[in-house]
Amino acid sequence: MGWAMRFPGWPFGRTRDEAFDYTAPIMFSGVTKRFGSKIALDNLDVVIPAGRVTALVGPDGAGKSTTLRLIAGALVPTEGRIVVGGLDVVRHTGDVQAHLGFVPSRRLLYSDLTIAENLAFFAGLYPAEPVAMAERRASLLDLMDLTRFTDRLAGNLSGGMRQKLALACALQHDPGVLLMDEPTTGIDPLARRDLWRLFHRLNRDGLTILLSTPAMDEATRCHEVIFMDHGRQMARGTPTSLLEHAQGRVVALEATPIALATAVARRFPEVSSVQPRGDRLHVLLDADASADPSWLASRLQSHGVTVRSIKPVKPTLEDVFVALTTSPRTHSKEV
Amino acid sequence: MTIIGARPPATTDLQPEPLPAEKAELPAAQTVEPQANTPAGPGPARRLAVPIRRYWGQSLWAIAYKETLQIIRDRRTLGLMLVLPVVQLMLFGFAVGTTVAHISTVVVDQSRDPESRDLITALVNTTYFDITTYVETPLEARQAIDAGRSKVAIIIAPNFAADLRGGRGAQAQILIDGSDPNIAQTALFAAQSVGQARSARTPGRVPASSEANTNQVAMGRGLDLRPTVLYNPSLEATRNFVPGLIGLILQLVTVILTSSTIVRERERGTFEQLIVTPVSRWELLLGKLAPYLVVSFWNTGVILVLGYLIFGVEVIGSITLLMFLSAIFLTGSLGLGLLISAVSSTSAQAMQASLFTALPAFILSGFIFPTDSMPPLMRALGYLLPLTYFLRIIRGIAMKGIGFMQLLDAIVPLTVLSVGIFLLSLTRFRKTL
Repeated sequence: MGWAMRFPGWPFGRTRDEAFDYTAPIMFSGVTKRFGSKIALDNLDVVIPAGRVTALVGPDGAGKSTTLRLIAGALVPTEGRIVVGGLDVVRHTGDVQAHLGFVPSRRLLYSDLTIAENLAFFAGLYPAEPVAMAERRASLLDLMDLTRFTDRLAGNLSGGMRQKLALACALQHDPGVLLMDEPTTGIDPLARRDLWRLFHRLNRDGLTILLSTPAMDEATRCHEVIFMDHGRQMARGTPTSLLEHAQGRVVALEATPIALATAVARRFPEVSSVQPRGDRLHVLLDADASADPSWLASRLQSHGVTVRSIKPVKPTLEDVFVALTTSPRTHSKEV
Repeated sequence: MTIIGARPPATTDLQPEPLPAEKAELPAAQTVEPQANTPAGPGPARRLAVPIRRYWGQSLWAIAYKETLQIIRDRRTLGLMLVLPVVQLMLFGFAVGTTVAHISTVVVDQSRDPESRDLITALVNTTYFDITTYVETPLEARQAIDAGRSKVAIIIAPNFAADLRGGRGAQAQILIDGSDPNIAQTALFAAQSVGQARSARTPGRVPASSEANTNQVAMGRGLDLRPTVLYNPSLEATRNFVPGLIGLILQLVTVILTSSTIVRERERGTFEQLIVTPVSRWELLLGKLAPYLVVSFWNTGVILVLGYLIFGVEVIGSITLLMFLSAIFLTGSLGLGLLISAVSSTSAQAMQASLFTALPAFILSGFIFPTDSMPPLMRALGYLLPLTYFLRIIRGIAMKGIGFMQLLDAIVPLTVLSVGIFLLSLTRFRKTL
């Protein structure tokens, strides 16, 4: 039935088997997306390299989901161009989609269908060789330990299992790019670790992975992190290089009374932000502040705060993020 | 753009950054401040769960208020709640308010003299008969009734006037379409009254009739006005409603089913999963609609069979033609359902919109109330509905047994409207969020 797959056949089948370049990066050129008066993406220019695991991070409304949906062809950009695998997504939507796997954030599969039926349904939507796809399906199920449950209704699965099913549905046609919108939200840490092992394994086999995540700790597991805010790219870099950006600028402060310390410290001009962390405060200092935090301790004490301990700590990506988003210099930074 | 540190991280067992509090030394004798994280100034803790005496029905008020807010914000439901009763009132009022009158009548006057015109005028003056056309032969008149263009035919033979003057007793014939008992009964009654009245005033005798004609009104005097009811001589209501029921099912049920299926996918979120696959717009649509097509056909068949078995209603004409034209009508319903799904964001809205379009369709199409007696504006609106033509077609085939050629002036508008709606809905269906 191979001929049926390749038949150009408008209106049946939107794939014309245009050559999809697996080594080409995903490119956004001047992409703007508006929903009515709301601007979700603002003249976004970004390049996501192939063969890597890239994370999109940012606050709510930053445009992460919109970005993923635009790549997958679920949305059409108001302005600009998106190129995936060397093909323009808007003009060759079907051809691009045949090489993409997309796991949306709501992760809702057909709960009145079994695992096997769900997989079979999605298999039917992709122009791939059926026998090879069936083999791949079997190996994916095996990898995710779902083989025992193939006859269970998707509605009766736990969150983690449903996520794995969604993943299997997106991977069985052997795509070159996997897009995931908040893939591990609501998953327990053990399952999360399993998933990440799986992601890395797939990536080693040549799969480009792009995901959005609100969890900074996940971002450290990626090759590259792209910060987004207000529909623009704020910063990008490897986790290491980004952490260096906030290097030497984070100080852990134990002080009483904490409320007073927080309020006072926030008023200092050299302080970018003060974040509570458990029983301590993480104080983010401006880049040009002095490395030795003793000045901070003395100034706090002069305001009536008792400082029990103060020391520089290794910054986390969360600190970097706060540093970037609260910085008054809000143009794109390259690190 | 420069990317520093392009070396991939160690892939085995990446741990997240340890939180600074992991050293977990229990602080010795510390004053624990419950509001450690509140940026506000220090102060005594305020507890919100202090019981305060509520006024009676406070929760009731809260819920009613929330409900009201939701209703106001749901423009669609609000519109329906406020507008629909008014629309219904108008429709029912105008459709029902007038009694059955102005029945479309075709006249064959082969006599053409004052006496025949006199009779015709008398009939028209009852206001029950509205002459739409004059034709030359009784055959044409019969065809007009068959095709549903007219409900009544007045046929006057060439020697009418001569017979009348000569005291031999003239005969005139009135054919009445019995497939709508409502109209038929009124027409029958009106014709009989005129016949009797005229008869009483006209001298002469009518030869005794040897035909066993139903509803013969010869009063034995000058004028013999013979109304004949075609197609449903006993004027059973059942025969009328079964074909109409098919129209109802195909219109209402199909629209409801089609509109909700697509909206449901969107609501659940599975729509997003579908549109990111290479499936084409057409495949998606036709694939979704196909089962409903099959079900609707099945339903049509079941109604016909049960109608026959239980109520004894037979389809006199060609069932194949009926099915074929039902298919055309079905495309229109499917298209309407699609249109509704394109503009509805929830299943509830889709259902509301389906009902909102179905109800006026029923009234305006002549399913319940005859279109002849409606005000011109409403009749004109009815002409825009595929259902109007479909009802005429289906009654024609089932009860009169007429064929394609005779129904042509209903088939053409039906096809144009149905296919038009379907194509329109296709352009509105997009494979994007």
